[in-house]
Amino acid sequence: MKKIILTFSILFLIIVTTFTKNSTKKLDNQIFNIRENIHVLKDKYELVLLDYNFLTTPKKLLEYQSKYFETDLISLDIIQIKEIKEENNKLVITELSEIKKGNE
Amino acid sequence: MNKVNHEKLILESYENEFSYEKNKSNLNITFNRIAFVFFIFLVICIIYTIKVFYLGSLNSKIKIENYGPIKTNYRADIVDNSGNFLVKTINTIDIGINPNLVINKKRLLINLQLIFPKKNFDAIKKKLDGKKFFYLEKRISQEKYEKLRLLGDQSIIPEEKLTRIYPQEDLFSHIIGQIDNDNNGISGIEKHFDYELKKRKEPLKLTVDTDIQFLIREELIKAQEIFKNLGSAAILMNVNNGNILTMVSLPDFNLNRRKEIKDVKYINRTTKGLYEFGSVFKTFTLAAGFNEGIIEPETKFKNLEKKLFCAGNSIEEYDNKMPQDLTAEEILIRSSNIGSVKIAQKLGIEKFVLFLKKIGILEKIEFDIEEVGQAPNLQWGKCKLATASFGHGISTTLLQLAKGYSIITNGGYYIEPTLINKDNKKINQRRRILKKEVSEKINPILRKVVSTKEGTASFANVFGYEVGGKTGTADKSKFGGYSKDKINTFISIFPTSKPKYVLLVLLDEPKPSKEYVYHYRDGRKPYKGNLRNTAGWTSVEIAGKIIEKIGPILATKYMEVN
Repeated sequence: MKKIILTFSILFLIIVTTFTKNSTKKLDNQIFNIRENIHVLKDKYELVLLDYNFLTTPKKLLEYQSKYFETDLISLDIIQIKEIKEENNKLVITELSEIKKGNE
Repeated sequence: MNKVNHEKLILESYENEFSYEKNKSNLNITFNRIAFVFFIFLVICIIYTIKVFYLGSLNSKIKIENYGPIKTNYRADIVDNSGNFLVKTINTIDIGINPNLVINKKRLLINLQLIFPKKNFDAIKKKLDGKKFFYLEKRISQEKYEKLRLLGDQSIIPEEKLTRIYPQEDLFSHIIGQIDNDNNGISGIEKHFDYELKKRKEPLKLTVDTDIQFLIREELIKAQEIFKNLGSAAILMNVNNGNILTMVSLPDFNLNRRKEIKDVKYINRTTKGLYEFGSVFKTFTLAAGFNEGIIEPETKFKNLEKKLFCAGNSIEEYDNKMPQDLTAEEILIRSSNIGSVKIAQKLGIEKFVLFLKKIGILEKIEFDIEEVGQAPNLQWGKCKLATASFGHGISTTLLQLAKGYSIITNGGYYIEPTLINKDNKKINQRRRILKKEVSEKINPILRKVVSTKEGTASFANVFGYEVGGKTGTADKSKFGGYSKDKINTFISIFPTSKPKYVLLVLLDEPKPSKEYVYHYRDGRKPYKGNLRNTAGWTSVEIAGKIIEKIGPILATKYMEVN
């Protein structure tokens, strides 16, 4: 009886080991493929980002502004900028600059 | 002998064990073997099970950046503080031809003509007749490379090359620097971090802000049109951690053109150029006095001479109307030379020099680019102390001034100017090298230089930013003496109630502009026809324009969130 149990146990372990090894091999392959894909995508992303950085340099943006929407953009004074804060689950709008005219 | 007997005894003991085994059947021996095999399989099974769990847990932790083949032809990218590319490496292919390997010259020429119809094929034909390797086309497009590959000609030799692309062109030329054809950095960050750039996988992140750099550069270019100056420079730095947001030096150059820069006019005026900055040194004299506890802002200096003599040279005020009785505070606000000399004399040479060394003015600065100037050693004496107290006869770099002003205004904490973004840098770990009171006393005085009528920098009094600062107008040293040309500097700190930024603007050899219209910030009528060539009428005006433009960005983008 012992022999049978042992033989079956060994067989069971061999089968489990084979399956486990197989599954890790598959996982290894999948990981390799995913990493390769990510690597390619990352390269593509970086080239797109380079294009984006080139097309959106401050110099180019000012060119676009003067060409297409010169009058639509205005420069803001710091006193015109407000800050939204959350206090006690309520949104509170405060002045960004603590300095008030005449208080300097 | 005893030892031998002892060994015998052990042998007998083993014999006993063997005798025990002899009595057992073979089954038991097999059982042990099976148990051993079982154990081995169990171990293997456990190992693989652990691996399965390990791989399963890895899914969320895959580090893409540490993956990929190690390239010999590699150089890491450089990005600004928002992650925008300042430098990007692209691998390009150069196509060369080895005439010795050409089998059918006529056929090759026809094929090449189809791919490169615009090329001069008479010259190529001559080269093909020779035996020397030559380049047909550099930085070839992928499409043309594929066509060449399909020709299958062994004489066509592709060579992979590294190309650095600079999307911001000339905006960061002095900071980034250049590399040579063999991928070695020859200036700027490229040289200082040459080894690291070749090894690191992640881009090198700088502290600079592209938008602010652009806006400041634009204002400096405008200044050049107004004041016809030879060059200019500006630094914007966080006074609390030394992070440099902007470092501009004009004239600059387009890095994409890869030209050899030899002309001295292209010197980096922020780090390499050594200048006598004049009155901006008076702030250090006053701060040293506060640090040593020998003066207070209200300390009175009575009956100040109109003229002092030292080693046959005279020291006098730039303004004849300067009162003879001044407080320490007024000495800085009105920029009194004689008053500064008096404070320095109270301090003494040793304490004054030690203070300047402490805040990093005298010694060569350790920095992230190679081009750093070093002032010559000074022979300190009574006259040198007197002249240095108001910034005459003492030279340093603009970067060192930024460091010095940061330390005296940030509460006395030591900082190192840096271009490299260090995320783990903690303000809490700062080391205080000056007394806390120094900043508490000096900051309101710097504010008054800008905000009061007596001050010299009212054009920089931009509403909402609490700008403080100090002007410096100095004769430019040339050929061992001084010329009539000026170095006009304005160092501003804002907001003075809790300083965050130091902005330095330097104009090299500006000329007064009669045509330029000055708009006073206190509502007075605009003024035209200025003939004064001082910092107050040149650098301050430009600094005011810069703060107006970059202020909203600094206030919102770099807002501290509690």
